[in-house]
Amino acid sequence: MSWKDLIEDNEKIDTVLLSKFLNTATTGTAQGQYYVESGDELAEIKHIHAEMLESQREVYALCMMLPINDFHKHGIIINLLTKPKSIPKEQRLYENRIILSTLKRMPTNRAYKVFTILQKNKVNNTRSRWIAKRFVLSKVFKLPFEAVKYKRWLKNLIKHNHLKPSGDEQERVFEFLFNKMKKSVTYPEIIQNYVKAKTDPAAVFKLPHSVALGFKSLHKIKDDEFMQKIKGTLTHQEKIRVQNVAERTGVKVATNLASYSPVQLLKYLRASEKRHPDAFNTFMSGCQNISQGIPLHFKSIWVVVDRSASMYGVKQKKYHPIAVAEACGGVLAHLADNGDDLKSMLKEKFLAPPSGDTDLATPVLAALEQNPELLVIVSDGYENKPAGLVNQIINAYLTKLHGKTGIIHLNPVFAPESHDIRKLNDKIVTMGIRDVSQLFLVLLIALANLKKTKEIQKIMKNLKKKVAAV
Amino acid sequence: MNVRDIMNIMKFQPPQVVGNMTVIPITSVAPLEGLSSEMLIQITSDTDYSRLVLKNIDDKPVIVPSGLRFSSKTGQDRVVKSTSVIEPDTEEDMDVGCIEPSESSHIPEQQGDFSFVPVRLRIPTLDKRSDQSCSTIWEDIKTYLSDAGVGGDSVRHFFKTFEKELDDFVAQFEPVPNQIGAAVLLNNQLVGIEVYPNHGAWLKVWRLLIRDSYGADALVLIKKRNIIAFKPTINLDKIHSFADLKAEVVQVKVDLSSNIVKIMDEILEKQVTTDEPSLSAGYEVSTVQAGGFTGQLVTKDQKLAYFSLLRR
Repeated sequence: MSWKDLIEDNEKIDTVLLSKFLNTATTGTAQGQYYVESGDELAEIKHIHAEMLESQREVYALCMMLPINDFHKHGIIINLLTKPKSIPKEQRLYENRIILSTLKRMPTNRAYKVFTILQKNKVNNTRSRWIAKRFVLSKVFKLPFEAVKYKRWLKNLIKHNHLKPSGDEQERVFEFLFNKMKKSVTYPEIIQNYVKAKTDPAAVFKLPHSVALGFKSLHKIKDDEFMQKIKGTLTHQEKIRVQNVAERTGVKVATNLASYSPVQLLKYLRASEKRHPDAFNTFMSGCQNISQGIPLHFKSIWVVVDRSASMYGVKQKKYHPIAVAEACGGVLAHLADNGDDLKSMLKEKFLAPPSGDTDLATPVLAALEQNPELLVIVSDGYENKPAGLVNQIINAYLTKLHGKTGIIHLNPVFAPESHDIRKLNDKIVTMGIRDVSQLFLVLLIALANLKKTKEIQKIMKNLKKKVAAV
Repeated sequence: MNVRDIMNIMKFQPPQVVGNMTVIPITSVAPLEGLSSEMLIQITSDTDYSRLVLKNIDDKPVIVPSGLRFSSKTGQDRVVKSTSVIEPDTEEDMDVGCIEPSESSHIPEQQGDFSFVPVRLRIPTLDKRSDQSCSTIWEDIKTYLSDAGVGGDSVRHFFKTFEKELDDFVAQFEPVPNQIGAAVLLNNQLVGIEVYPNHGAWLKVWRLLIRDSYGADALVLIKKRNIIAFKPTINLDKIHSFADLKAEVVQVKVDLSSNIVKIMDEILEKQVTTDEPSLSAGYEVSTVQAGGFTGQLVTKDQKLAYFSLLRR
C-alpha cells in the first residue's frame, strides 16, 4: 500500500492509537509531573511516538499541522529526520514541506532546539541540511535580527549544517556571527546597534527586548528608565508579558485588547481593575478567529462551564482554568446553529469570579434535557455537591435512556494525585486542554474516540489542503 | 443556652460530600470585621519547650485557636493549648505542647509555618491545657500514629507519611461566598464545628483545617477500614424516561439534605455549659461542653468571634 492510500482508505486509520497519541501530545511535556519522574514520562512519550511513526507515518507527520504542544512537534520532526525508512521520494518531499512549514510557524527559539537536538543525535544528512538551509536562508527569515537575538544557537546551526552565505546580507551576518567583522564594510542596522550597545547605552534601546535586557545591567540602567525607553520597540506579546513590571515602575505600556488571545484576554481582564466596555465583543471576536480554523459544524452544542472556586487555579497561573473554560464556550458558540444561545449564556456570567462549590449535576442535567448533538463540560473534575452525581447521571443517561448526545469533558487542570486529569465519568471522552487554540485538536480526539472515521477523514483532507497551500 | 443559640445568626449551606467526609459550609452576613482576616502570626521567641512567644503582625486583633500547630524545618513542632486573642503589634507568651518528642532544637525566630493537629489530638490538647509539661499529649500521639498504621512518635511523621493522600482531601472541597466556618462529618457523624470571625480569616485556615485536622482523621478511619459514607444513589431501575432521571436526581439531593438536617438538628439542640471565661485582649474566652462535644468560645459584647466544638 502506498503512503497516499493510508489517508484515502479510512479503515486504515488506527483511531485508538491516534486518540492516545493526541492525548499525549496535548498534555505531556516530559518535564515530569507530581508523581512521575521526567525520565518515566519521557520514556512513555517516546514509546507512543515510535508506535505512530511505525504504523501510520503519514498521519503522524500531518499531526504537526494540528495545535499540539511544540515539544511533540519537535519529536515528530526529529523522528522523521532520524528514521527516514525506505519511504518513496514523493512522501519524503511531502514530509519536508510539512517540516519546513512547522519550523517556520514555531517560535524560532523552539525551532533552534530542534536543530540542537538533531546535532546532539548526530543527525547530519543531505535531507536535514537541506531543511536547515531552507529554514535559515529563506526570505521570510529575518537573518540579521535572528543573529542578534539568538547568536549562539544560530551559529551552531550554521556550523553543524555547513551552511554557506548567499548574497551580501547573509555574508555580513555570517561575519558577525563568526567574529570576522570588517571595519570597511557596512553591516545591517540591528547588528551595528548591537556592537554599539556594548559602549553606548542609547543603542541598547534599539535592540530586541530580551537582548536589551542583557545590556541593562552592564550600563546600570534603572528599571523605570529602561521600561520608558524600550516600550516603543516591544511586540504585542512582550507588551503583555511586561505589564506587571510596567505597573511596578509606573510606566504605561499600552496594549491593544484585540491582540490578546481569548484566554490571555480573560486572565488579563479578571486580574485588572480597569473596566473595558467592549471587552465581551473583543473576546467573542477572538473566539471567532479561532473557530474559523476548525472545519466542523454542529446543529446544537451545549456547554457547561464549571465556575466553582477551584477554577481560579493557582497563584502562579491565576484564572487560567476558568479562562480556558469560557474561551472554549466562546469558540464553540461559533461552531453551532444555536451559537446565539451560547453567547447569551456566556455574556450573562462574563468575568464573574469563580466561587463556591461544584454542582455540575444541575447544569449537566439541564443540558442533556435539551438533547444537543454535543455536550461539552469544561471542568477541573472536582465535583463535591455531592461527588460522583454527574457520573451517575451520565451512566443513567447512556445505559438506561440510550441518550444520543455526544458528551465530552475538557479538563484544563492536571491532577497530580490522580496521575492524570480528573475524570467525571469513564464512559465519556475526557481530555486535557491547556489553551483554546487546542480545541480543534481535542474535538478531533473526541471524534476518534467516538470512532467517527468519516469526519476524521474529512479533517485530514482539509489539513492536506492546508499543506498544499504552504 | 444551646448550640443553636450560639450560632443564631449563621446559616448552614448545602453540603459538599466526598468519600467519607462531608463539609457543611457555615455562612454569615454579619461577620466580625474588627478581627484580623489575615492571620498574620509570627514566632518571636522559642526558648522553653512548653512556651512560645507569638506576635500579631497584623493591624487588627488575631485569634490564635487551640490546636494550631507550629512547625519549622529545624525546631521542635508545637501545638497551642488554649485559644487566645492577641492585640495588634503585640507579643504573647503562649502555653504550647511538644508534638515532636525526638527533636531537641528550637524554632528559629520569625520562622515556622502554622497549620492544625488532627481533631483527635486537638481534644486532649484542650483537655490538658492546664498541664505545664510539654509532653502532655505524647501518649495520645503514639496511639494516633498506631491507629494510622505508622510508626514513630511525632505528628510531623504522620503528615510526612500521608502527604499525598491528604492533598486529595483538601483538593475536593471549596469555600463558598460569605463562609466563616464549617460543620464537618466523618463517616456520617458530626465530628466538629468551626467558626471564625470573618470570611478572610476562614479563607486563611479552611484548607489547613480540612486537610490536616479533619482530613487526617478521615484518613485514619480509611486506614482502619472503617468507612461509612451516606451516599444516596440514583436507582437505575426507576428510570424509564428523562423525567424519571430528573426526579431521581432531585431525590438524591433531598435525601442528602434531610440526612444532614437530621444530624445537625441533634447537635444544635444540645445544651452548652461553659467554664469561667478568661479575658484575652478584651475578648472572653471560655471552654464549652455540649453532650459528647468540647470546644472553645470567644465572644465580645455577646458577639461571636470564634467557636469550635469537637466530638470526643
